[in-house]
This record gives sequence, structure tokens and C-alpha cells, in this order.
Amino acid sequence: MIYLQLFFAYLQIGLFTIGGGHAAIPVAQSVLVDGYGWLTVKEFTDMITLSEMTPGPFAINSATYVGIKTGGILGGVVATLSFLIPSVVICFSLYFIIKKFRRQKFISGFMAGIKPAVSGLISAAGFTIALTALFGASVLNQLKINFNFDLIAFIIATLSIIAVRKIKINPVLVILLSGVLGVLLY
Amino acid sequence: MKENVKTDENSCDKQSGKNKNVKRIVKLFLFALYISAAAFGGGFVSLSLIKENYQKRLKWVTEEETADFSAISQASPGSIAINLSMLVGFKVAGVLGALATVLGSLIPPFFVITALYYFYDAIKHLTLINYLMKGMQAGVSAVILSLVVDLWKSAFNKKDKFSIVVLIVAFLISAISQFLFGVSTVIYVVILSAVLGVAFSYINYFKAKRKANGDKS
Repeated sequence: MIYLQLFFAYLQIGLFTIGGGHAAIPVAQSVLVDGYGWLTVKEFTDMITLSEMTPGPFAINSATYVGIKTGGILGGVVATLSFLIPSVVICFSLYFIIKKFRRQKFISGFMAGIKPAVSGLISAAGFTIALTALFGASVLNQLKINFNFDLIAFIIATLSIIAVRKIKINPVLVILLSGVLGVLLY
Repeated sequence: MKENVKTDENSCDKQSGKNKNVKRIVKLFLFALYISAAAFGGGFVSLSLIKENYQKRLKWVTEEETADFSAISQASPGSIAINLSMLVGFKVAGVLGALATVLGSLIPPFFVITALYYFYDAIKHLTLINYLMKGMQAGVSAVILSLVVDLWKSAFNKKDKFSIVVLIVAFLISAISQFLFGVSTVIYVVILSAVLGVAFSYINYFKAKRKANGDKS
């Protein structure tokens, strides 16, 4: 029963993806490639590249892709939803625990530690994304770094910064517009 | 009885309250759809878009709540973007709100991947899409850098030494490991910072206690 297999596989991946996005890669590889053999190593790395290029987190994208490949559209739905179950359960449990016990030293310390760390992690992500966009240095394929400064990307990024910070255009719109600008300039 | 008190607090007029809630749920769904379609490059991009839209523009969540929700999303398994939008949806409109944001966030990637699966060979050669993606990536980096500026400003304005140190160390560990070695250390950074936070909170508590005892004697 493929749907049951998909359900358990993605339940497992969902449970062990802690830290978002790329944290899913090692677990997903052991389950999808080594475990069930639903993807070859080549397909798996293609999947990572594809997720970098498309909206949506890697884990969700891979759930959709693997689900469709093995069980059609319904398989995609099953895998995607199964991936969400652990995060829904744990996320809401944490939410209520923290809400209830936020004055406790343990919980308040826990939050006081994680909050600035999340800011630091966002900064690091911003740093790597900007380097990737401007220099074409792929974060995932370290061996293939070739520092080609991308002037067009630099111009688009500069214009976007001005649009977001000075003119205060909605950033979602800015991202979509910079996509259009990319088509026009490149 | 308790339930009644709660709903009365939330909406004075039941009918208009209901309509307002439906409107909010629809808006949550559309916003989630919109954010999810534009946010590629990982959860942190969605985080900045969620912050911008729900906190700064709609003012449905406060800065404090966004910070709490981001920390919870980061500490939970799964995708940060989906966890975060789920919590915001729940805060704004309850379970239905959470459902609306989760569905909204799932639809764009689901359709994109389904389309890619069936039409990959046809799409692969379209350089147009490649350029679109490249342009969007530049836009994404601008948006996230703008958020980074806000985060650092707010951290330094609060003058809390512990937070500033954790912020800088987390940034350095994550950026260096990611960029030089291509390894994600996010999970270790989260665990380390949680342990430090708890330790610090107990140390402060005992220090204060000892001081209080010292004053007495």
C-alpha cells in the first residue's frame, strides 16, 4: 500500500526536520534514496536544485514530487499532509506550553535564548542568499564556487532595497517585480 | 460559560464579528498564497515577508508576538514558513485561520511541483523562466537584507548584552558553516542558544537571590 508507505516515510521526515528547509536533506536522503529507493541520488540532487529555484520549502516540494511519482496526485497530497502532522502537533503544543508557563524561569530562558539566535540565523541566511544572487556562488555545491559578479543582479537588488526601505512598497510585490526586471534585463 | 465570555470579549456585536472573522480568514488565505508564491530561498524569506505583511502593514500581530512565533517555529520540526504562518493564522482567527494559512502556503509549491513533474521537459529549456528566477532571487536578497537591518537595529536598541552576543555568535556560526563548508548548523545553533538562555536565566535568578540574602544579613 503505497499511500501508507508515503504516510510513514513523510511522518518520519517531518519529525526529524528540525531547523527548517535544508535540515530535511539528510533525513530525506536516508528515507527516500537509501530506504524506499523512490529516488536515485541524481534525482535527489535535482530535487534540491529545483527547490532552490521554486517557491516552497525543500521538504514540501520533495513530498509533492515523490508522492506524485509513486502514487499520482493523491500520493502527492498524502505525502505533503503527512509531513505536516508532526509540525502541527509540536508547534501548537509548544505554543500553548509557552503561553501558559511564560513566567517560569525555564521557559522564559528558553525563549530568551532562541529569539536572538533566530535573528542571527536570519542574518546568516540573508548573507548567503545575497552572495548567491550577486556572485552566483552556490551554497550547496561548495566545490563549484566561481565568483562571477553579476551586475544585473546587483542593480535589481539595489533598486529593490530602495523600493522596500525608502518607498516602502510591499516586499512581495518587490520580489515579483524584480522577477519581471530579470526577464527584461538579462 | 467561559467560552461565552471569551467570544463576547472578541466581538461586541456577534453578527458583525462573524463577518469580520470570515473576511479575516479569506484575507489570511490570500496573503498566505501571495507570500508563499513569492518566497523562495527558504523559510527565512517567508519570515521576513510575514513580518512585513502581518505585523507592519495589517498590524494583526505585535513585534513581540512575531518574535515569539518565530522562535517557536524555529524550535518545532517541519518548515519554518508553514509553522510561522500557521501560528499567525491561529492568533488572528483561531483554528480556521490556521487552516487558511496552511492551505494558502501549500497551494503554490504544490502546483509548481506538479506542473514541473508533468511538464519538466517542456519547461526546462525556457531561459525566460531562468531569468525570472534570477531576478526574483536578487529581489529576495534585498528584502531579507532589509529585514536583517531592522533586526540588528532593534537588538542593539534594546541594549540587552546577552541577546546581542547570542545574535552575533549565531550569525557567525551559521554563516561560516553554511558558506565555507556547506553544512547547515541551524539545529545546533538553536539547541545551544536554548541551553544558554535557560542557564543564563537561572544564573540571573540565583545572583538576584544571593544579592537579596546579602542585603538582609
